[in-house]
Amino acid sequence: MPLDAAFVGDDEFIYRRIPVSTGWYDPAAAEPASPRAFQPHPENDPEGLSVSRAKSEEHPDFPSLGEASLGPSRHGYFVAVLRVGDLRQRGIDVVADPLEENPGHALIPDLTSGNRNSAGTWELMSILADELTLRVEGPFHVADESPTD
Amino acid sequence: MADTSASRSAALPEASHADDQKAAGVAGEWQRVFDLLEEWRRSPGRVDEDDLIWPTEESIDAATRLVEMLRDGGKAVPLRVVPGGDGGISFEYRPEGSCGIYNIDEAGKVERLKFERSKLVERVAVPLTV
Repeated sequence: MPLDAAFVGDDEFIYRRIPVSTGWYDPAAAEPASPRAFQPHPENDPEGLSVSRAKSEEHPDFPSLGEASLGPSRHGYFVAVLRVGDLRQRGIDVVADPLEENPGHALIPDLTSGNRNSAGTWELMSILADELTLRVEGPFHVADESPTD
Repeated sequence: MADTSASRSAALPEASHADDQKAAGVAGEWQRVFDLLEEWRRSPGRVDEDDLIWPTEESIDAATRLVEMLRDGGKAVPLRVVPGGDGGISFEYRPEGSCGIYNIDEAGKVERLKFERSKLVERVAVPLTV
């Protein structure tokens, strides 16, 4: 991993996976994703909401859109695309949290399992879904071949 | 243009037919919500591959009562009825420029949230009256 990978740049894109099975996004509805798509898990997000930094020339080891869409659900996933600088302009930080299986793993530390139902968290979830999501890609299915960016 | 009794009587059945069709459409949309809740009732509280917790019996019971309350009160059918991922259920509305959500938690407690341009402007408990 490059030495500067610990710093998440404003011009980086991040991915947030949305399980198709939940109905949190419907491409036919022409409406933003549900804020629920950005709610931390009751137990699995103690340090922050999981996102993935996007593959780029600077970070070729980070996942592509197709790779970011891979997960255990047989129904597949949508992927919301956001820009780090847009989040920071709204006071929402993104920090690196590399994992062995995903060196591009990152966290939004303001959104945690502990505060997942607070008024402030619901407001941030709404901002992420309604104002900061640039687009939602997919659906991608487990059986699909990974699309290229 | 003068509205003669003949033209009124000709128009009324059409309007009534349109109203009937609209009512039938709305009834069908509410029925789809009931069907979805019944589908979830087959395996309440299951944990899926993403570790998401699907609606509990308590939240499904409360959602069913909420549907009856909204339907009988003449409210619009929600844009989406979705699992919360924590055993609860959300009903989402998207009127222009705002967002309204009924959240039902895993124990069946209901609250209503209203957002104006993503700002939370209202959060109140909703008693189920049905």
